[in-house]
Amino acid sequence: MLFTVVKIEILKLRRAPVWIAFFTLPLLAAVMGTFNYLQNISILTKEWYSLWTQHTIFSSFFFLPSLIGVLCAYQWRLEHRENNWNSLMTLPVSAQSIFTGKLIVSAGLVLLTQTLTGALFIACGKYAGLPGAVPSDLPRWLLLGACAGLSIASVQLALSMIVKSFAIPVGIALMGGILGLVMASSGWGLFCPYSLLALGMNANGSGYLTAGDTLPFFVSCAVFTLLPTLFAVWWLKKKDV
Amino acid sequence: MNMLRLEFYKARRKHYWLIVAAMSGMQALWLIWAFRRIDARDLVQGYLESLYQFTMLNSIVLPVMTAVLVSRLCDIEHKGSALKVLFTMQPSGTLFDAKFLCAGIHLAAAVGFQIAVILLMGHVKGFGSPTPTADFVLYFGSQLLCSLFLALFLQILALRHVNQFIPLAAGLITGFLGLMAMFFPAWVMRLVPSAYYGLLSTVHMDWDRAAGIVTYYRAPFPVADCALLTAALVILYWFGRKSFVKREV
Repeated sequence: MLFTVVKIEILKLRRAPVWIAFFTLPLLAAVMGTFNYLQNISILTKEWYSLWTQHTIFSSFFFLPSLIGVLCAYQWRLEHRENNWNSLMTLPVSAQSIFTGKLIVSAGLVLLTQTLTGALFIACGKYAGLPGAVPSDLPRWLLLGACAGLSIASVQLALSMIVKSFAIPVGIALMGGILGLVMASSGWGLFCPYSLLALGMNANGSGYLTAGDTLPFFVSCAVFTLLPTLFAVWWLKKKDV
Repeated sequence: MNMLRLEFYKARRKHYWLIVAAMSGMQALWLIWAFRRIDARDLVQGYLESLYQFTMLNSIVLPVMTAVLVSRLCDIEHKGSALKVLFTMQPSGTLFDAKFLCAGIHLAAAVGFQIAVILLMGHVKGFGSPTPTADFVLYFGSQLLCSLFLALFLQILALRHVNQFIPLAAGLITGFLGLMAMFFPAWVMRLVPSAYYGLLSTVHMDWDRAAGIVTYYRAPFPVADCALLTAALVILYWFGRKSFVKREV
């Protein structure tokens, strides 16, 4: 059942321009980040690590969470329009499958974005002529970032399901990003879903996360993914659409 | 004026002001957080530092806030398939103008609120310099001008496309470009509308890396850049209004 729901969700997004934005953001981050790195190479001395911060610091705090917010709002927008809620709720599909299907599609897109971010980072590093090997931590940063993206998607999907406006959840995501920056800077990043992306991706380059923090990070991601999911399933079962 | 009043009437239960209040409130909290530990040196340049901090924040927050606001203002017509009816009842150009003015009033309130927050902060913390009225006037004008340009650009997109993903994504990407462009030479900044938040600022920062000291200083108002953005605004307004009036709904 879940597989069919995911297939249908992908079908709904087939002609939507969401893909373009998700691939544009890492591309712009890579081009502008590399240019900025090359302009300030005398200050940014940590080579691959400095380049990584230039690629990820702004997008992971402010723009990728907001873009995930746009995707989630877009997925629910289809249900909020016309009489689609009535049609959706009369289908022989469980509430769990409805929400999880949208979450899996969001996670897939986040994973693709992370893959592109990684590929562009390597390409830009080679273009900039950085010496040495690509940091061995790169796959870890990307994977942790994807897990964090899943948490943000879960929170945003739950929000967008309740709020009928398309734009409001996007604004909330941006405010979440600012809050995330404050929380991460104060050492409380694991308690805010919007901080997790930058923490996991090591966006400030100095290691927000130590090796010992990896388990709490995964626990935090799991909590911020499961809680909104459970709430959304409860809401779908109990509330009158 | 009637059309503008109608726009506010449509917005009656939509709480657009809440979007502005929430995002501006978040910016205010940021400033409070930034000034939580403050020394005598920071106090002396408190007003300049506040203006600089808000300018940086504006380049991130205002493009998205503008996109959310404008999208809500325009989506109301798409949702109700109201454009066809409205076009038979009022000159289509006035609808375009009313929406733009309505967004502009909200944006002016947001920038005005920022100045009020800085003044309050200065009063509470006791910033050690006289209130820089001229800086505030220039700040209000420049930040509003840049926001108006973005509002116009996003309004054209939001009215053109039923799918509001497009103006929202454009707002996000414009904000991202604006923030990144601030680390680029001025000629690159001039190509990005949201970079004008920084470009038109009269407060700049000098960071002494060795001593770890940040100094804020005033620079002359960039009249040429302001004129460039104003000219771009006028051209975009003419183009956007004309294409809206001539379109088939």
